[in-house]
Amino acid sequence: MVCFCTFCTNDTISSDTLSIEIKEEVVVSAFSNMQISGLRTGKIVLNPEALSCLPSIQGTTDLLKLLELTPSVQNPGDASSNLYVRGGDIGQNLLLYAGAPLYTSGHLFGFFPMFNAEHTASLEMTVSDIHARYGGRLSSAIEMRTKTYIPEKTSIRGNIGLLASQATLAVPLGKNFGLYLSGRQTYINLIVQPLITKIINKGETDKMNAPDYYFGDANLTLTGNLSENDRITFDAFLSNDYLNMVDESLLLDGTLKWKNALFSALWNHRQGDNTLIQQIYTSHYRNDLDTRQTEMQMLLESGICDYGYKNRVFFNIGDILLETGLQYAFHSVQPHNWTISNAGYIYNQNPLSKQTAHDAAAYVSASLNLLPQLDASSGVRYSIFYNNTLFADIEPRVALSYHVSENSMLTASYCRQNQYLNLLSPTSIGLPLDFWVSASTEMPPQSGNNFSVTYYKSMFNNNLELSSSLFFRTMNNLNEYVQTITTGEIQTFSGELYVGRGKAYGLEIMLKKNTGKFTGWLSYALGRSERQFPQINEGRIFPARFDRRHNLSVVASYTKNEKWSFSAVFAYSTGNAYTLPSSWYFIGNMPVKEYAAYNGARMPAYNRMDISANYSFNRDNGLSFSIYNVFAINNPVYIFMNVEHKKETGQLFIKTRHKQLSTITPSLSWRFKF
Amino acid sequence: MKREIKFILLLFTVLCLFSCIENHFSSAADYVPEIAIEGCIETGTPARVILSRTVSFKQQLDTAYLMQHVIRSAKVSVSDGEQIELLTLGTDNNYMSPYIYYGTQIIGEAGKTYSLKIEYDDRVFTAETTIPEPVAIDSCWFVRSNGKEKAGHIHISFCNTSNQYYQIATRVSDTENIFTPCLYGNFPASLYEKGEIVSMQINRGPILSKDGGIQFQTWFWETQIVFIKLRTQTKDSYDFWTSWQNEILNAQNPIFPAHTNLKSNINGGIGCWSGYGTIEYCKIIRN
Repeated sequence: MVCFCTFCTNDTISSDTLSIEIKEEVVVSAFSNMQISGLRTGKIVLNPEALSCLPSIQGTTDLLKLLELTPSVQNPGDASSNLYVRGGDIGQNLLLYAGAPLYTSGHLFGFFPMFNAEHTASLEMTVSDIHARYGGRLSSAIEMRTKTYIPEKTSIRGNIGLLASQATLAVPLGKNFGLYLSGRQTYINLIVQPLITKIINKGETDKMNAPDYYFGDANLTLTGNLSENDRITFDAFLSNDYLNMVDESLLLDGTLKWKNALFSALWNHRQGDNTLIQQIYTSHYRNDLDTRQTEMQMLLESGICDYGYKNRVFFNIGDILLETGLQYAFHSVQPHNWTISNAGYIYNQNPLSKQTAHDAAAYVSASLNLLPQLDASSGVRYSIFYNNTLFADIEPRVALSYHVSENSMLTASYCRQNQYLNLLSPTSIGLPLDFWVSASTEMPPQSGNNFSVTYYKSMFNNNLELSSSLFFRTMNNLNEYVQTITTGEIQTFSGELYVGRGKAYGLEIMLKKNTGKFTGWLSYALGRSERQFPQINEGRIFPARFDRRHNLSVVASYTKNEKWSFSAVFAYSTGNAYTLPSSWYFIGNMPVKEYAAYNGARMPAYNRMDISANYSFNRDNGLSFSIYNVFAINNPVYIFMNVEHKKETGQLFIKTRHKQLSTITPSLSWRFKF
Repeated sequence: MKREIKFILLLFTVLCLFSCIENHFSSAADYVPEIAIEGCIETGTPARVILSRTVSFKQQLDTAYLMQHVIRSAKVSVSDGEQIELLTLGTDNNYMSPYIYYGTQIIGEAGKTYSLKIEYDDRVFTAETTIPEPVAIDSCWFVRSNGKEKAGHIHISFCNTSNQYYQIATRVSDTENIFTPCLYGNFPASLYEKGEIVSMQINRGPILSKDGGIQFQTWFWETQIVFIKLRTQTKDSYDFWTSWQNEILNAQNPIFPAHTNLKSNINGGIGCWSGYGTIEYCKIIRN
């Protein structure tokens, strides 16, 4: 009956969600009416059930998207499922599913939730005082926990929407075991795709098919008590996405597939006051792009596969709470592998061959009370990474919390992290073409130092919570990857890769109302994220793509009565930085562009408001009606300028195009439980 | 509570002072144009150079304004190490930028290095290139495309004897007067074994059509007369034309976007000075 979090003895410092020896049922119920918890300890813990009333494009809760409404996460805009935390890059977030790393970047354009909320107990994100058990990423640790308590009776709960449906089966297997099985499936390709194709081809001679997309995923959790002191949990997660785009005018036919498979087995053993947790897992991710244009075919494959083992031991020495652990993972990484065939001739452009790496770490952390009003938690992690070259580093971290009063606390923390697997992103929109590369002499490991000071205050009997943080972080050996698809002409990986450094700093404020008919939160972040690469902008500092000067979110829910509830979400943020051409000229009798400073231009500011109304027939059955982007604001995903001809006059003119991928989108869904 | 609110407001005010977002764009009035150079010398032909100034994207366009950006008063010279030739200005209306500096005396030879010097507006631009040994096409044939009536692709084969870089360019006799680099027709010789017989399909490159717009038509029609150039070039030229193709193909591609400038080998300017080892062929496509 004990989940991962309940054994996290070092999290006992006034955590409002976690405490030692509390069974999970109690933990869940303790924050079941709170949408977000954990602020006091510098965490964001999302409760899927309490958040289910918020608007959603698909009628189901998207926990990762909700993280974007918190101050540490920059809103990436539409058409992206990537997370940018405190000015970091997308590959810098350690995403754990039931304790095992997940490498996927989500479903297409982030329109569908990555995680099935029905199968999720909670989702926790740590950005500042990152525990020593989490390593290998610079920006954050995000852990999705599956339900691990044994269901009382067999039930099916789910959600039927216009574009996708999902269901979760919960089955008690005797007194000591329980099973959760969830599945989701879209049917966009059956309903929406033919409709859009018909609309866009009306009156056109060159037919173009609307993108054909579907995905399905499945989750399995088997949990049980072997004895009073032994518990095992087996988790599995499988997902499969398919996207096909055909443009007859360009004779282009492209198919993109991406898949995840994750399996994890966890044994939890308690002996007296001590606890040992052991876990083995394997996690696979791959994406394949297959494009054809006339006789030319291009295959682009990449993937990563992990086999890993982790253990954790919790014990006390006097008043000091200690946790120590060992972690090992074997990585098999396939960076982008291009295979190009042209009229029967095949080129295999593989600037980076398949890589294997050994990744190990040992850590120890301690929590203690130094003075009556001063708590301390510290840890050290020693990480080793071997991929023909050996990399190793000591990663210390420390947090001091001063209890200003009974309801307020000031915390200062420092954390050093190393990242040995780098995610390279050749694309500017939310297509999952990013790929992982292992650290090497050509691409040294990223490292970062995070400093933050957080003031927390709870007011009005914890009805109102305020959290305010100042942070500063430095990042070394960051990557910018400029990939071209001028087929057959890719030469060396290093020619496309730039290595540089960055820093980010800012202020984050979150004000949260927990109880009453009105609940919700206000989140604001003011910050900068800068990069400096010798080969870019002549070595001058430039803003990171997701540098956000302002990032504001307001989330409000109103529960009118047991039947009706309403909610609204408003998000505003500074536009993305991007590179815009400054001038043009003719070469080869074609207009070509000369570009201005890298990331020197800004997209329009992003703003969006979503609303929803929920009607409950009873506790487990109800209808949800949501409108995404209710004011139909045009939030462009990318902008480009071009020199074009007027056919009538033959004159040249400059055309600026703002491409958006979504607009006002209503959705209706029915949630049920039997 | 009041203390916290005051504190936050103060912090807000201070931090807002550095919250302005810089925009690195200059207006059209501030814009200083660069000199763009497109020049080449091929085996058996004299040099030709096109000069222009870049045009700001902020600038409204009309034909008269574009003509201001064509450079007609530069001193352009080419040297082969033994003699220096001053190029003379001529016109060719097949080009969007119709003024071209032509040479007559220095004729391109394989293995020789050629220097370009341009003096204009108190500025000097220089570049150097070498012409590699040309490679001959062994055979050339036409394959009708599936699903396209009377259309298809030309295929060529040649023996890979170069240690440099290849470029394939085509010109359709009746409709085009300029050789256009082919799609995916820019590749290093190192892709193949030395002495290997390379057999490949020619994908016609994008052209600016007379009725306006960029024409992406990779195939040829039956009955067309097509001139084909198999060129060898140096690394500088290859890098330039690779980046040019990336710009043409991917400037509007959000997946693999092109937002880097063309890789120039001109000192002080942008563009390219290329030496080509060229052999030209003519293919008459018959039914």
